[in-house]
Amino acid sequence: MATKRDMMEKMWRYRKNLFVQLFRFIVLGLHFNKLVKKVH
Amino acid sequence: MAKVVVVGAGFAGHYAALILADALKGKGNHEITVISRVPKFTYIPSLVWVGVGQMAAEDVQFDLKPVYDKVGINFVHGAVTEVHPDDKYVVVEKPDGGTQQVNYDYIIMATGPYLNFEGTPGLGPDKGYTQSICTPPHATKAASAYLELVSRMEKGEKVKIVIGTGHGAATCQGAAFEYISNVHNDLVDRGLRDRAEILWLSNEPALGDFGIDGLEMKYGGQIFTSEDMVQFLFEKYGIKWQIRSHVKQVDESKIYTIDLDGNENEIEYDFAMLIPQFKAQPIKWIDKDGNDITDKICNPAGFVKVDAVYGKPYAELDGPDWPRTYQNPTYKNVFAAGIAFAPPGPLSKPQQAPDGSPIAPAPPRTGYTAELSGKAAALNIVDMIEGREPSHTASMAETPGLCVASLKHHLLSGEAVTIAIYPVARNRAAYPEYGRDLDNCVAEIGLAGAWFKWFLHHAFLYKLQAKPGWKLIP
Repeated sequence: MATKRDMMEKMWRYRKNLFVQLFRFIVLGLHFNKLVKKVH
Repeated sequence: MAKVVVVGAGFAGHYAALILADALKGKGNHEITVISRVPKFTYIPSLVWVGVGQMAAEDVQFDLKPVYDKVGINFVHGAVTEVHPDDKYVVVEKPDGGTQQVNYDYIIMATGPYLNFEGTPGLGPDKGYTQSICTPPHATKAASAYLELVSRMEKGEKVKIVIGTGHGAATCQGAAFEYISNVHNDLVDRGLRDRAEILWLSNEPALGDFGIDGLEMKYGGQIFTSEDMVQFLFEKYGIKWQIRSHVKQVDESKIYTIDLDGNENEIEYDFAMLIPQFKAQPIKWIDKDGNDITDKICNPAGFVKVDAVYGKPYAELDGPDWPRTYQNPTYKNVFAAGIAFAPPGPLSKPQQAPDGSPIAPAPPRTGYTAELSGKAAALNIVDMIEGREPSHTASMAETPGLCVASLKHHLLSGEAVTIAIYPVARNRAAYPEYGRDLDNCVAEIGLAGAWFKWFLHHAFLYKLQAKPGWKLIP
């Protein structure tokens, strides 16, 4: 099992990868939208 | 016809006014008036970029009057100095020195904070030695000082930079965190990073606390904390830290601190940006007999009491104690939102140094949280105008915290921490283990966050100018 440090290093490595970040933008956007809908 | 007055035009007040204008449109000849010390709205989350000289102050502001003219809201430029809740009027001090009385049936206090630089001798850009990014003039001044420092570094000078909080009871650690990260990345881009020693100085009990008692999130079956993440980031950035500290005094070359263990420290600096303690705007509440009843309506810091459960010790404070409708218990036609409402207590554990100095981050009630409280207050006033009991709620223990902390402003090489927590205030009655729903808590570093930050900047400035379709933006 990867350690927390390993996982953060992985996040750091991909933090500027355009493809990964585009995917994360969509995933995080959907997550934000889900939370916003809880109050609106 | 009802007269509704909104005092303040930040996230809470300005949004409340727009919601009121929209909700009361076509429902009678109601009058909405906004009173603000500043004739412009400021999108505060982008001041961090103004502070490093990457954006002009004008790009984060717009004039309020044209927006209010468009949606039928009256605007009074001035500072409210007195509220007379029995006689239902406020006294406004105008910029020309004159005063004006404004009557109301309902009022929302959304004044934002008073920046208490006086609470720390030597703090602040006006009468002290440190910078601030809390207002557009302060951020502009911080940028000038920072760029002057950069020119000294370009000549080969090595410098010490200190960024964080300037008082043990300060809040808005997130803004300082954004600033220190943007300064680091700006110096990297300029090829000057090796000439600066950068220190994070904060009142937080732990790294990544941010005044919200930190956050936890689940990844790959493991629990990560904001402390893990900020420590990782500061190590990557080569930023040192001193936390659990109160700033006692600042002079032109040193910052004097004391920490929770009583250790006193003198920190040399060439450039410092330290967030001050926030207090309430100095407004007196006067009853019908002329008595000052501010102590009855407000908490000791001057924030307006609402429907929270006050007086509980930190250990017993829980989600249900946080306000839901933002209605004052004494005067039912008085509401308070954003920074102006009195929280039932802190989110982070309050502590003090052996000499009695408070080291207790105050709870942030800014940005999205402020907007939600302003909206709830506005809709509750609409309820009352229409003969109903207030029914709209936006408790910090039932609403999410959405925050994008910029680390570097660039659409291709930028990075930011995207943070979502649910709820903001720990609610152990609803989520016994952590007080939050960890399935809905996220924090991650990446370019996607920089895109979010850019998108939110433009979306909010569009929405808050009431441009076509503004109501579609949450």
